[in-house]
Amino acid sequence: MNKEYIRLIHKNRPLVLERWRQSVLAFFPQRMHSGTPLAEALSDVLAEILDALDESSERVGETVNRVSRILAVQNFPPSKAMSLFFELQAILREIAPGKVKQIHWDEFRTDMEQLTLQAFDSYMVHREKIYQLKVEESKRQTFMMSRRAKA
Amino acid sequence: MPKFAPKQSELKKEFEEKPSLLKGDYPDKELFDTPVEFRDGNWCYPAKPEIVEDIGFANPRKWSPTDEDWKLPDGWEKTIKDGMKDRLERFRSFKLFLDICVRCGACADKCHFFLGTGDPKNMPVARAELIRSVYRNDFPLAEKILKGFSGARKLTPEVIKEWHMYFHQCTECRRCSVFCPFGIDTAEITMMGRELLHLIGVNNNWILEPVSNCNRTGNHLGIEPHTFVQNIESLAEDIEDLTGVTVNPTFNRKGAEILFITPSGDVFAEPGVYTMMGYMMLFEHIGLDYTISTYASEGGNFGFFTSNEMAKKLNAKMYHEAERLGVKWLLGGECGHMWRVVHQYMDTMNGPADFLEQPVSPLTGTTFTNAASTKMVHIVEFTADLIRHGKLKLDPKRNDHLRTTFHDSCNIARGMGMLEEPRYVLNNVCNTFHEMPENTIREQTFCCGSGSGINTEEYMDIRLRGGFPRANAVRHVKEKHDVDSLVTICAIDRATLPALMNYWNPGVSVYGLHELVGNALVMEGENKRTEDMREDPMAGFQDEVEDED
Ligand code: SF4
Ligand code: SF4
Repeated sequence: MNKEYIRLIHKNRPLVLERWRQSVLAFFPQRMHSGTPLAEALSDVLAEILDALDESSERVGETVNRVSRILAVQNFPPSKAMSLFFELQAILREIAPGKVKQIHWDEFRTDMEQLTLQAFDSYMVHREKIYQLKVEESKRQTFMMSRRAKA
Repeated sequence: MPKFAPKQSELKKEFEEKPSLLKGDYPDKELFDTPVEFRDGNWCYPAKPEIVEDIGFANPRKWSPTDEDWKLPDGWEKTIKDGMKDRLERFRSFKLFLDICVRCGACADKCHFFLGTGDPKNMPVARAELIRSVYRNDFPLAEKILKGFSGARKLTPEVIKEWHMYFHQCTECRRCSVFCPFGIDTAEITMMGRELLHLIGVNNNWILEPVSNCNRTGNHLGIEPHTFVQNIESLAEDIEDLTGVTVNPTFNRKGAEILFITPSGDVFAEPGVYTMMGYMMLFEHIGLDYTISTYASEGGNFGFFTSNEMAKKLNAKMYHEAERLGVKWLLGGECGHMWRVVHQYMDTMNGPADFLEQPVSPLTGTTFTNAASTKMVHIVEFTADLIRHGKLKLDPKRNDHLRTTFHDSCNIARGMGMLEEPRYVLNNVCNTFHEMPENTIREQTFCCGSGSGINTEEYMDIRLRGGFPRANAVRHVKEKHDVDSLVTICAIDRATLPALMNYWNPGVSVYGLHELVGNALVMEGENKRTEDMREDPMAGFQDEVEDED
């Protein structure tokens, strides 16, 4: 069943998405220009996250993975990258009508905290991956040397 | 005017819709006031003092970009200013490019580093401005002409830091020049920027160590002749194991018709070695009279990323070796910047090579008039000509296990205008080839993000950002057509795209074009082929074997 906050997000989807997109582009030290392939990829994945909220946790996980992959190589600190879902909370609170019950906000917060933790795991996996890429690249460079050593 | 330069109406539209320096969206003051910050992942290790000494470059010392004091030599400001004056006189392009930019902004969003980082200092126009602002301050006439543009500034250590950062976030790919109405080539400004930095010892070990190795032993890794031979012979054994065919490369053989030179990455690194196997199989297949030199054992030229003089010196060994061995002409392997040097600079740097003959294919009789003066032919042209004349026996089904796309390397596509030949060869050796989107290929190709000597591991974060536009285009064909193989004709691509793919598009592997040629070649006396060069099963051929069992 739809949670109240998801219903609210979907009802205000264009506005929520646009504001979320803007706030994420503002993570970049010089604010990412919205026409770049990177900004487009980010916008796509943010939209996918919104759409996936009431789908399977697997689907949400996939989208969280995709956004973390992008965020993990950027020129801003992890704390900023991980504020992604806090931004979404602030945006919804700003645009939602006042009479939403506290219980729904609590539920929203809990879910967003959960997603943040998930994103953190994925962010770390991608940072690890970058180190792994370095190791693999050095190995490829010395491919013939190590082959001779093993022979 | 360049083909892709915008028309006046388009420029007007671009100008109105996009942020630009001229409109004050990125005011100079604010732009240059943002301090540069070196932190892990955004700088390359500086050159070791012994290496700097070895090649006679300036100011050998231990230092790091994260240090407050970069230990610049006494009087460094004068060195830079004199260096700039000297280059303005010697290189007309440099002076012209500094003078004629109208800051229309057409180049602004064309650079992969801007597109991948969002950093306005990575807009080509801003990159050039890093030098132009100093030029304006120090060359009064220029200032007079450029009056009305703000931003003349003094040369300070901060400026040098900024140059170091942003001239290493330019891969000299020239994509911006394709869109500039004046054809301004920011790559040339970067080259000058790097030359000036070398005058005061601001450098990058990943570039200077290969230069020093190449200077001493003839190749980037410093592989000595016996090891170089061993590597190639060991690849020849692999070919024999795989196909049952014996290939017999010769080394330093005087009187051979052709001297073959390829980037040394093809001789020591994975996946380049599979491309090397492809070349050797091809030469065996057509019975080419060629030899490989253990001295001119490097097609690449990292000297090109330091200074004109060093590029010239490292390039000269090709001609010296060709002369010593008495060959007729040179055949060159799959490489990017090697061809930029050969195509655009070799002839005036070290030519004319009158002791060589105009290249003629011994198989087809085709005269390579385009190489009349350098006497060096690109292997892809050579192979395309062989296929065109029906000289190769090919079975493209042997690459049916690969669904390919093609990455135009900047130096081949934009640097020498070779666009059709690789596609022609690829289409003849495989059955599934899908192009990436139009604005990311051919003249408009996006750089791998690691060219011009920044393909070092400590720079991985920047490389993954700069390579994002390319990776994103690959993602497009991966999702749309299930593409799983990225074919290239450049050794730096083969070295660096695997990491880029692995991060952004896991499941996409990187291949050299001649590796696929090697897979498809039906060799005389071969065993039944069931595996490709990497010992991966070929689709449809395994079954046949099982059926026979
Ligand atoms: S370099 Fe060319 S395209 Fe770029 S701002 Fe200058 S004139 Fe315009
Ligand atoms: S040459 Fe390439 S990397 Fe350099 S500024 Fe132009 S587009 Fe960017």
